[in-house]
Amino acid sequence: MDKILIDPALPELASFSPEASFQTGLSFSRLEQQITSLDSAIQNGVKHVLCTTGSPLFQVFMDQPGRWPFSLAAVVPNFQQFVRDTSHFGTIGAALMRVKKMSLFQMMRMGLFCAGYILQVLQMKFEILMNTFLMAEMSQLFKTKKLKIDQVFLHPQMTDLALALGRSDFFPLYVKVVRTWGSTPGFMTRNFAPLESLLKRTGVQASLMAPFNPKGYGMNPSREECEKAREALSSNPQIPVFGFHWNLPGVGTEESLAYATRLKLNGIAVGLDSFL
Amino acid sequence: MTKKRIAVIGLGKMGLFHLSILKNLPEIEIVGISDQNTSLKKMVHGMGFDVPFFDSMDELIQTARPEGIFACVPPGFNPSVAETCLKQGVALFLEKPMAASLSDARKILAALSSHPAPPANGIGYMMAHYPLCQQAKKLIEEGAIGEIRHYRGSILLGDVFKKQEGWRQNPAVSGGGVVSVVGSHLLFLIRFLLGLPEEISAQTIHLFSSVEDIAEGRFKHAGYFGEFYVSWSRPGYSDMALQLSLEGTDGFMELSDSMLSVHTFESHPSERPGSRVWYPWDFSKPQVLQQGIDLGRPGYAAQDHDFVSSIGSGRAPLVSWKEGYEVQKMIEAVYHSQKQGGRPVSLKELE
Repeated sequence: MDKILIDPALPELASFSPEASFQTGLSFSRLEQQITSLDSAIQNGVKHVLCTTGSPLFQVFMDQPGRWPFSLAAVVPNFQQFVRDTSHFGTIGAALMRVKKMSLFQMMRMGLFCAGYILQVLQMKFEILMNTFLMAEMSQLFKTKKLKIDQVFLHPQMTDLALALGRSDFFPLYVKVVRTWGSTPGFMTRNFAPLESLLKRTGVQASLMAPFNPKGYGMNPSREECEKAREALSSNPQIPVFGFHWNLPGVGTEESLAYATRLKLNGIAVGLDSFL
Repeated sequence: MTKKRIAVIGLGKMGLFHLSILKNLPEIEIVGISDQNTSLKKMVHGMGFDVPFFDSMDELIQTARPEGIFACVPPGFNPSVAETCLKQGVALFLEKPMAASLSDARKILAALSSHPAPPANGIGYMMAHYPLCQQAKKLIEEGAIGEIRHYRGSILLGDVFKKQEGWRQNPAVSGGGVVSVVGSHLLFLIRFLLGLPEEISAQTIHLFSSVEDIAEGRFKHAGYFGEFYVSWSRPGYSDMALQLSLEGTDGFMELSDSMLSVHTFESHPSERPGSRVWYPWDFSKPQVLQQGIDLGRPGYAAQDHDFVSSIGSGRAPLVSWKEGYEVQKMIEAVYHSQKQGGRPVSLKELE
């Protein structure tokens, strides 16, 4: 089972306590600390890193592309930044801030994408507007060709919002947008069973990442339903399944690992601080 | 099952969030949406809410005939929303805080009290629905740490780091800065766990604009005191971080978003000295999450479900306007004390 190193800028995936996240963030404010941890992770056989746009860790990879042989994945949007921007500037203001950072070529690409769905754009359909927003955010990931982003996961809050709204058209469109950038799409979710069911209905194939732990925390609607959904996907190599929140405080690591192994997860998320 | 007819007013961040939760409650039907900004009509329809949109609340009530309304407007607008709903006998959930001032909150409560058949009323203090907070309340009431002697609470958030624009900067509309917007959660929790303090003394700090960014103070209760500190300008806290430590005659309790722990002393009459800890996953999942989509904040879903099920039941929701008014009193006391250079303000003075 692979280990996926989590960016400290994604505290909602790597930690349970804001205080602990703050301390981890402080440790990694030193560049040498990040580099040491990445070196250590490589020596320990870690092959994947999951980061988010605009984070200090992402900047390390931007500044030193090719230094580490990791397969890089990213989470969009940078949710904390997204919440702050939408609170202060509204959804449209937040989108414009991202568009301003795009290159002319990237803007043209986005314009072409919107032109293909002009009726839906005029109708302000959620699936088009949100994917356009995500396209603008993703442009930051693909600014340099030196850095290859192998996978782009959608943040669980966004995946679950689209699920809650019942916007099934959103999912194939997101897959299309990510593939436009030459990357592999993925969805993170706290509603693994309903998402699995939707993907089956719509024929969408993408990597999935969700909480899997012996306590059933974050496994909605229930641990049993999520286990069944995982089982249903276990023979489909087109939809690898990764786990986060697999190792809860108060639950032994051995027990948690045994559970993840029993579910045949393709990988589990580990904090960068594990390699300090 | 007859579905309850629910409407949402105000399509800011919280309005859209409540709409997404409500869409997944099987016992309700969303019958109308209202916002003064009519350009949002297309957006909410594009999100899949194929329901009538109104730019006036009166029209919404007259036409859509909701049994209950979720009002997610800035607190300065809550009195007029409450007045309209009460006149029509419509149940009303107000996003917190209850109002932009204590006098406004008093008017809302007075209108409710004089109503011949008061409809259901709720306030958005979702921490009352967090299992860890409910467990902490139960343990305090059972005397798990003996008599409370002191507490210290804080909420830290990394949100405001420069001069801001918009309604949040206008206290007449927002009710204030960090105390009203963020700190009211901590004030609610203190009241929820320990009851109203007798006196509050406080100081506020303005870093960037016309409303306060940091506040600290001291709360006097009968026989003990507590301290509080709130800031929305603390780098590194992308999520709101709650911390509450309570010292009692027989033990010590710590409560945060992710953990509750109790450490009992040798003095405890019925327990051996030692520590116990609870995590969110130690509690059974609310029924509401076993049906719909979890949007990552279970307190909100439980809160909306609780309010909706209280409509027409004769039962008050867990957090009603009465509790909202008491929290408003605490907010007002903080601002009163600050204006008087930190002088202690008795909550009775504010009656």
